[in-house]
Amino acid sequence: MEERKDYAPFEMKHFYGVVVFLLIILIGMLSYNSNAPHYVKNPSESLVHIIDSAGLLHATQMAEILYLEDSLYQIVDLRKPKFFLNNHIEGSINIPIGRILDKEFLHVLNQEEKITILIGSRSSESVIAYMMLADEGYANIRVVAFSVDFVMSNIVEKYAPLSGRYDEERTVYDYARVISETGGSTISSETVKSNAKKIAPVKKKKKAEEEEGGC
Amino acid sequence: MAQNKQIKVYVFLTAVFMVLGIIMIFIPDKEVEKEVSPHVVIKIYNHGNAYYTTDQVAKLIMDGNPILQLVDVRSEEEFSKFSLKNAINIPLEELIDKDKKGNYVWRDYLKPEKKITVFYSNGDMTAAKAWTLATRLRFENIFILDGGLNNWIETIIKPVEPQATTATPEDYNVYQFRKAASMYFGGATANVAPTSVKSTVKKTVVKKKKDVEEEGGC
Repeated sequence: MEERKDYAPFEMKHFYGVVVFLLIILIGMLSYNSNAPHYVKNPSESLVHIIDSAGLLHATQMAEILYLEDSLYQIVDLRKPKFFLNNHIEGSINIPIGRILDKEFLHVLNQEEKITILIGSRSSESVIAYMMLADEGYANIRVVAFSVDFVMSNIVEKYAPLSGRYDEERTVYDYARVISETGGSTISSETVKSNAKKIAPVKKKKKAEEEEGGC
Repeated sequence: MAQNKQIKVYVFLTAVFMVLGIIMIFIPDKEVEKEVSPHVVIKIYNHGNAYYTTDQVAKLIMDGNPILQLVDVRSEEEFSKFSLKNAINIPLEELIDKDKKGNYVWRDYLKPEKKITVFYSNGDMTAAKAWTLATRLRFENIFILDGGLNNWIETIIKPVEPQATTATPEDYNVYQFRKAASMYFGGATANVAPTSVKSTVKKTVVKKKKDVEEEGGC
């Protein structure tokens, strides 16, 4: 004769336990997002902020800070350590851009006591770091439109903050003229203008289409 | 007795779902996931995936490669004075404009299928601002023209001959290419074939979202 097995009777407390356990797992999964953005500025606010050139320090201001050895400011060099070791602004701190958001540097970069000036090998590097820190809500961050090399050659070695690439976004050449002087067989001022007229309405057309809608 | 037990279960389940509903209200809005976190933006930049050199762009234009889409992020006024071949103008100020439906006006240009989008400005600061915003908003395959138009003039239009004492064969190859490019873009007198610069174009495929508003039709 087959032996009968005894099973523990199902109890309601088991049911409750299972439901609560599943609920906790579900809530955890829904709310967990390791890469959740932490922006305090939405994209539109961020855009307005950078268009206004808020936080942008000019070369003459930088020169003044360096010559006066103003302790209110700290300069953060965003370049890789090998470049920093090779040549750097005296008193600057090296935090490579890849580590700018590391928690260990939070107290250095986000503080009320000092104003942080971000500078890198190029202005684009500095502005990317600046936008990320500013959009994350870091306080007292400034950025420059020139490089460490510019500071070394035009501020540290000699006083010429308004010569050379003190603003990397500044137009250095009359592009159309340079092209035409070089020969200008494929792009001249005239052809560029006609191209511009042709391309610019793309947006207007698109907007118009979207606005029309309906029947 | 059994009926009592059943009622208890219903009450319990009702309570559980009510708690669940309340918790759901406080879970962060999924909208924010449409953005890339600051850490990821910095990571993308730091991995050296943000720039296209003037040589790479010149090569793509000269080859007539349709994969390239140039976006001039300067003002309309600057664009009207000079622009690179086949570039479109999306001033930085208008980059994230939305239409009445809440869609980005330039979405189709910033998320095109099988295209590489290269932002450029006079230097590369304005282009970097545009790149940062676009990357944050998950527009993919966006790059910055290294050094912008100023660098374009210095490297492509007016290339400088390498110094004989320090130059490597690679430097001369690059110079030969640039002379040819200068002739192509500016009509210089060099007579060299544009084959020396290795193209490092990544043929990345952009996944096209088909969630766009299907317009038209009644």
